Amino acid sequence: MPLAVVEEGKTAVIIGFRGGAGAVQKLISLGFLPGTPVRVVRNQRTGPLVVEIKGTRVALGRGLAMKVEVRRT
Amino acid sequence: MSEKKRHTVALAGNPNVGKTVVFNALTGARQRMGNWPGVTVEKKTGIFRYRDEEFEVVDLPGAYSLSPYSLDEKIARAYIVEEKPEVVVDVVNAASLERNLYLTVQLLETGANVVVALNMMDEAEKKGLKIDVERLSRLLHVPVVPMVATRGEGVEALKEAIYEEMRHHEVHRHMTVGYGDVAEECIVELEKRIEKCPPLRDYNRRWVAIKLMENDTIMVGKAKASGCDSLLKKAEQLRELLKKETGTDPEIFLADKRYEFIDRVMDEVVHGGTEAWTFSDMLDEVFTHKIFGVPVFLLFMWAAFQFTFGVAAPFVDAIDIFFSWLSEIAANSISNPAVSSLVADGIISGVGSVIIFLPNIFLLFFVLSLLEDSGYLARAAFVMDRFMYRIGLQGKSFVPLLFGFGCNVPAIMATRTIEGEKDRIITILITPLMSCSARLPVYILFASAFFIGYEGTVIFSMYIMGILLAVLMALLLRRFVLRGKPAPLIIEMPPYRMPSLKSSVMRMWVNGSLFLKKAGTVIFGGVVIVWFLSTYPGGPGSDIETSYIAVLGKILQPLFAPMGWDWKAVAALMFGFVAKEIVVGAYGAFYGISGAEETNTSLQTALSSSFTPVGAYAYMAFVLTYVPCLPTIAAIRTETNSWKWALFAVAYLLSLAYILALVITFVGNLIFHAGVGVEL
Repeated sequence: MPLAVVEEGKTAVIIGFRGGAGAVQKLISLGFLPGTPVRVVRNQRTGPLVVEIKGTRVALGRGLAMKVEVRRT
Repeated sequence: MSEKKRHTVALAGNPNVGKTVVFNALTGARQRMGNWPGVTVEKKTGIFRYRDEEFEVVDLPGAYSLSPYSLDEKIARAYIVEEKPEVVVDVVNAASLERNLYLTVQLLETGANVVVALNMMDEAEKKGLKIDVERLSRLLHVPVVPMVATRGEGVEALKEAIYEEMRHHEVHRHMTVGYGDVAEECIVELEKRIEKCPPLRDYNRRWVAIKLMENDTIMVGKAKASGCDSLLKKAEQLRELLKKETGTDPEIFLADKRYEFIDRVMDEVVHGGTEAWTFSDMLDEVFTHKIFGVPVFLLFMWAAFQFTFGVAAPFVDAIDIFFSWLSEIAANSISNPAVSSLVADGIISGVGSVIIFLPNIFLLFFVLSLLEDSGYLARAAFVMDRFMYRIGLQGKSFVPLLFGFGCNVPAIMATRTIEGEKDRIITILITPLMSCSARLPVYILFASAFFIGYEGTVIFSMYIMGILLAVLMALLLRRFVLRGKPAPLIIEMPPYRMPSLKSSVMRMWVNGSLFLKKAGTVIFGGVVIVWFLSTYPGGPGSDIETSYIAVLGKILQPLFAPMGWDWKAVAALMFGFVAKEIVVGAYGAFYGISGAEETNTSLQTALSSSFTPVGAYAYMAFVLTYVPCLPTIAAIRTETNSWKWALFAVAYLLSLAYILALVITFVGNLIFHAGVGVEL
């Protein structure tokens, strides 16, 4: 399922990406890689999300969060 | 060579790692070019001496990696691999080492001489992290200097490490990251073939091979341009092979291996650390809250503006009194009428009415710097993203637009953090509609001449009008000119920090004095030209109706007849092209205001005989909207790298201003028809 549907406070593990090279490279450089756990700090149904990954908080546009495939833990 | 060579040092690092603080600590006051708030994209260089050697430090834009997808990262990467600085200092945030090491690893792969500046050790300590610095240095094969740059700790050690690294100047041949048997074979295979592709031989072979495996657009483009087809074909084959062997895209596989290496380093080097609920998390709970986020944001913006204009007020008054006094002295003490007129009416009253607004500009930059350094600006981008998305932009566009209220020039430069090319151009094109502080003098002059008791409301309406027009234009541009979807938001939210007063004051000073330079050269020249055009051919004391400017104004006046503006109003507009503050300076020169009276009051009296209130309001709106000033046009031209967009901005803003003024005149006269033609 996409990261964008994970509820606030829940943690999920990245399993892959859907989308273009540019967006994926940017995600990778911030630590979004298959196998990495992500905690969703803010998800307000509309607008961007705040997630915690590798000890840093990142604001992520909803469209981008739709392209990150995750698995619930 | 008898002259000693200056050594080059580049400063690289992620955003929010205190790179600017390290830069300032290294170079002190010996800097060239200011950086704009929000970004360090402007090439900023400084010099320091250490043990009889001179080092030139180049501050690179913040980057998370060396991928070719964002402008900042492209600039940083190009400097490192093309200019080949002798030493690359990688400023790393000790409190989020894992993420920061990704860039470090990539820097090492380019073959650069890296020195790691392990900054923010105090923050790491606060998080309960223990970092084995020596071990980190051994694992990375590079010197690592622990620092707390905000307190000046580790600065001397960093200079020493740079010095040592420069002296040894050894080429790093070791492999930092091993990519596993299959990938390594591919890399070696490609390395051999790079020999036959001349433009790629200038770089570290292994790095080029890795980039080709990643299908890096810049490297592939270079190879393609010089006809290295067999190399590219081989790379394609090997990419396919690796994909088949590993089951993932080579880019992701290689990145994964880098993080694997980083994980191992982290295991050996970093100990402790608690996942405690921090104060920063608590603040985020409120500042990014669904309901409270927006009111908090508005509160901060309101406070920022109150501070900027409230604190500035007494300084503004003082400068006003000073220039009136100076003008009077000059007029009385110079006997030659031509010189006396030039000095008192041209230079002093003109430039004086510009410098008077410097306190506002200084304080605005100070406040923006506080907002950014505290970490709040990233939250503001988050809060604003959903609204910006609706007008076809993303949250990051909000920051440059906010800076636009200070000055459009740095604002346009701040758009470099926006990745999407179209998003960037739209943001640049609508930035001039953010009412910069240079337009404020015009508003104040007109508001206090025509709308006594409602000055605040009228001036505020200008800001709102600018924002509404910007929203409208963003939608129209997205719809008709630069189609497509906005690039997605992705922005790090650094932990909240106590902003450093010193760095805020420094940035205020750099940006403020840049504005002063502009005021001192462009505006000074502009005001003198205005004075000349309005005084000659007749000379001082002659009727202004016979001056050059009257001729120009009268020629163009019929265009603006529907708004009821006289030729003086039109002529002043023409000079606002040089810089908008000149519109006020031009009026000062037109009416030859000097002497005992306080400048603004006498100008207001003079003005109230030439405008109706509706005409004055339309005029203010025209000044808000029409052609950006010369420095802004220059900024658009350099940032978009084309005259096309600069001229487009001029054309669309002029048309918009004209239509707007017409509409205001028409509607205003309908509502306040009693006001039409009233003699004041």
